[in-house]
Amino acid sequence: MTIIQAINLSKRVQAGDGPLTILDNVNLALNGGEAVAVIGPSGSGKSTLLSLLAGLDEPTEGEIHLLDQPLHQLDEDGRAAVRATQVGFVFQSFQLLPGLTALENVMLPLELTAQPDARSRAEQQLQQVGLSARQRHLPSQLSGGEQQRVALARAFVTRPRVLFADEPTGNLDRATGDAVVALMFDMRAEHECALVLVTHDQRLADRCDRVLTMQEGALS
Amino acid sequence: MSAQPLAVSIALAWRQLQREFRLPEYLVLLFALVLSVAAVTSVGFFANRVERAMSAQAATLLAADAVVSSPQEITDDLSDLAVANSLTTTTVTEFPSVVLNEAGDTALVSVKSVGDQYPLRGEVRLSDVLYAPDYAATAVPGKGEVWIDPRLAGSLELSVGDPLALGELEVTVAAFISFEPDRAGDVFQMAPRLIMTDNDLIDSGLLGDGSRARYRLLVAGEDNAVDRFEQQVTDLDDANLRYQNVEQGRPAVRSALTNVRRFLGLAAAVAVLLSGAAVALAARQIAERDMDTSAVMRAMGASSKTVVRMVMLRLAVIAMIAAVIGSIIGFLAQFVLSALLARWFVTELPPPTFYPLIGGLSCAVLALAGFCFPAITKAVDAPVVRVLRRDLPVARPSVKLVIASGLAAMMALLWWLTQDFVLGAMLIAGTLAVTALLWLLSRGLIALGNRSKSPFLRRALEGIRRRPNSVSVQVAAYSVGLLALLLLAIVRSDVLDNWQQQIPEDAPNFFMVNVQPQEVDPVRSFLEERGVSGSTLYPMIRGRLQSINDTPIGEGGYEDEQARRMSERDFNLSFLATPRSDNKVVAGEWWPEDTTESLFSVEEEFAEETGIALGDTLHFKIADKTVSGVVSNLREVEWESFAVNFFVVGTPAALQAQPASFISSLYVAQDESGFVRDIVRNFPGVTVLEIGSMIERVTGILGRAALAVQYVFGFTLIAGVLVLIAAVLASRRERFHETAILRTLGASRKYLARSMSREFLMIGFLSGFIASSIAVLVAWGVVEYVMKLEYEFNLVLWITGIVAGIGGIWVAGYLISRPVLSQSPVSVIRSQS
Ligand SMILES: Nc1ncnc2c1ncn2[C@@H]1O[C@H](COP(=O)(O)OP(=O)(O)O)[C@@H](O)[C@H]1O
Ligand SMILES: [Mg+2]
Repeated sequence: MTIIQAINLSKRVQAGDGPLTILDNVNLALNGGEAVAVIGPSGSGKSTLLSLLAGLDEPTEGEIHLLDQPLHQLDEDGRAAVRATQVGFVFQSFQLLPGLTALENVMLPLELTAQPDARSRAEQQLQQVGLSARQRHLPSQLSGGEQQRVALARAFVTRPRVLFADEPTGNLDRATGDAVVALMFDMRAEHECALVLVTHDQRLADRCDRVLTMQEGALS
Repeated sequence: MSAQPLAVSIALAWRQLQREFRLPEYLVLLFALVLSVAAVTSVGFFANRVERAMSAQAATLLAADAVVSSPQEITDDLSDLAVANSLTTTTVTEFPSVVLNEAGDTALVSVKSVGDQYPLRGEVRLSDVLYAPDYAATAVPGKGEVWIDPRLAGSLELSVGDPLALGELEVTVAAFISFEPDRAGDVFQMAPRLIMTDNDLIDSGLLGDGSRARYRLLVAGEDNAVDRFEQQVTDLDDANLRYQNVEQGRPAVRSALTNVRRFLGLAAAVAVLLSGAAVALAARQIAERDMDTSAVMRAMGASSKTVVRMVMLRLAVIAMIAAVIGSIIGFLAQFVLSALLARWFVTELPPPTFYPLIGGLSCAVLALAGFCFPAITKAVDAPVVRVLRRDLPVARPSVKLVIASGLAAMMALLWWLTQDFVLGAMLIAGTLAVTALLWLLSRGLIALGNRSKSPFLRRALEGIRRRPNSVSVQVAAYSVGLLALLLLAIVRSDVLDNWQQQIPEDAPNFFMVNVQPQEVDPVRSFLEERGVSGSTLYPMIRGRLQSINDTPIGEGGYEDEQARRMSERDFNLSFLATPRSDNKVVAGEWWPEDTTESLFSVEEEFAEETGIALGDTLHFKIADKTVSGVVSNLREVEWESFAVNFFVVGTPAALQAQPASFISSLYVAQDESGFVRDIVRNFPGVTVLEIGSMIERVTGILGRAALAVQYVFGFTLIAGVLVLIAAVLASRRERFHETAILRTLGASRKYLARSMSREFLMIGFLSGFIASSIAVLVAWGVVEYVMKLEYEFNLVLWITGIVAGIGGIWVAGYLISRPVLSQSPVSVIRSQS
């Protein structure tokens, strides 16, 4: 079953010296449970593609269907509603809320959808990433690897159908990065969750079912 | 696909607030709001109490809630109308008469015949022996009894129990009047009072045809009943009836207090304005934080509505907390204000109502809305893609928008505080101008310091050079607060002192008024006998300016409200043959001593304000006649001398024939104690007023008022400190970075501490120096050019200002920036990522 389908996707922005094409006529389809890696040099448009597929941004042209929802036809709040229940994120810079504890950060997506058992589910999820002891710590009191594991717990706690990860190891040393990636693939397998992984690390890409290469805004 | 339920936003907002409240930006925001609320409510509570006291007092000034007066007897219809409205009523009839004592001496009295219920508000106070302690009257005088003014007792040598002939009646003096609530008319003209009962009125036979009596109906009751009655009286449309309620009772006192309230309001407003700056600075930092937070929340699927709600809820909670804490502080602070201004009030101030709390809450909400809103709503709109690309340029709210919306909120607040739009606009313009000036000055001084070759100065300025804008904001904000305080300290000490010292030792200390023409010679010889010399008795004639040339008054339009009122009511004229040595003719020429022409000499400023020019013909209505004359010269008058002076002086030919009384100012040595009593005994119609105690009272009141305003300006200084803190906080992140780099380059903690300390010392000095110097300059200008006195440079104050500048800024700046030093370089670098 296809859960993501991008048709003739283009993104152009108004840069300082005229229009700039970041994505050019990209087509892509992803099946449920499938893992796809997008690799390519820095500045080739990987993050832009990810933001469009996940509904964080709007394409200039083209269609995106995410879990039968035509994202290109929805407004920001419509896309937010899709994200809230179906999608998980892991970012290069972790993006935990600095004011909230590890547990509260994990609870956040559940609370946004007003789930009654937010706390116990979040506790369970934290336990799964091995951070039960750090529940009440603030992000600033955690190391980079620990922060990214909290981010993983937060991403999976809603049982998403697809996980978007943008350079999840970019801010981590190699050993820590490997551990985080191993955890991510384990959890993905357990949740039968599709994955769109943006990276420039070939080793990481090789763990996916399919590898796509991005070159100056075009997929090959 | 709908937004998250409200409960979600509330729960999330609440948790976020709990966590973030410890952050210094939030504390600054909260403190700044608390401060504005405290400033506004302290003045609000105080004004509220004063207003309540005034309306209570004003009621006693009428002896009723409202009075209808008429030259004809009050009809039964009218009193029935009042009774029909469930109002209590009583009547008062006033007329002049003459009384005789046993020895056959006579005296003119102003009789007041009162109904049984008199007074409806307030009380009459009596004494049985002259100047003995008084007590409140429990009823009106009985049949055949009267209460009399002590002045009458002096002139007719009366004591309690003595008989007195009043019209066809023989009455007994039952008590002396020491206080009468509704003493109407002006003190200068009044004959001694005699109060009798209405039950004797007919028998006395005093109310004949040409009796010149004035009849009053006094009413009291519920506010809305009184209002209804007023409407009904107005509907009668009877030209003879004049309705007067409590508000119209005492315009002079009311306007004086309104002015004080306005000044206090202004002082509070400056504090609010400055806190607004602190709010804006803090909001900017909070917004920056919110940009990241809301992007993450939206990526997690929060709807924009939820995010906006969270922001609004947070702001609402902050506004509430600030309103509550601020109001409590404001309530406590108003006690100090009341104590400072207690001397103004004869009675105790009543407790305040809760009405000022509305002002406090709206102040917090308005300041938040005005200064925070643009920044924070913009933060909510930050693109969600920011979670992927942090470097994405973010749309900051334009500084212009923040300033515009902040100013709009401030205008609304100021209008509420001062109830005067122009004044509010002027204050904002003034504060902005002063702040801009201070900012420019500090930039200039920093630039100057940069040029200096002194290594000490250069090193002290090293930190300042790196962030000249932030430093200038700090200096400007703190200096405004300091400047306001210093200026008031100067007004209080230097200016008032200067003025008081300027009054010569032998300045007149008594005014003598209402001397009748036939008494002029006896008074003169009495004064000579008592060794009181050098005083002239000036004739005084009451008249009303009817027209200038052929333009009737009221048609020309006056620039000055005061001038208009001046010419619309009776004022005092005099006549003089030879020029006075203390009046200087500045235009035209004084008339020959024996002139037979009808000419006027007009005081310069009065002429300017009323639009009278040399050569104009003035028409005055005096008694029933019209007196006309040409303006032949303009005079300059030194009003400060306490000598008797007149706006308009005529030639004897013009005014000699008109009914006049005489007036004089005199200096009586302090040890001449029996002076007043002897004057009253010898000349019962003459009124003597002591100026000395009046001057003391005036300077005392001015000093207290200045102190009260200064006290409210204390809030301004604190607000200045808050802006300073907010500015230092804003530069702290940058400082973290800087310190980390310097530390990794090997700078010792001690070295960094010393250079930071030096930086704040320098900023403090700048700000103190600027504020102190401007304050001293202003004081010099006011004393030399406005008051035309000699200014003595106040070195102590100047130095105090500088020390206060250094102390305040160093303590605040250093304490806030210290944590930067105690971080290890590693953690500094980590918190950057
Ligand atoms: N909103 C934008 N405005 C201007 N340029 C952008 C914007 N978004 C992306 N870009 C540019 O598009 C290119 C691709 O960016 P990105 O998708 O982040 O690449 P990658 O993730 O592969 O490194 C870069 O050159 C980037 O500077
Ligand atoms: Mg990228």
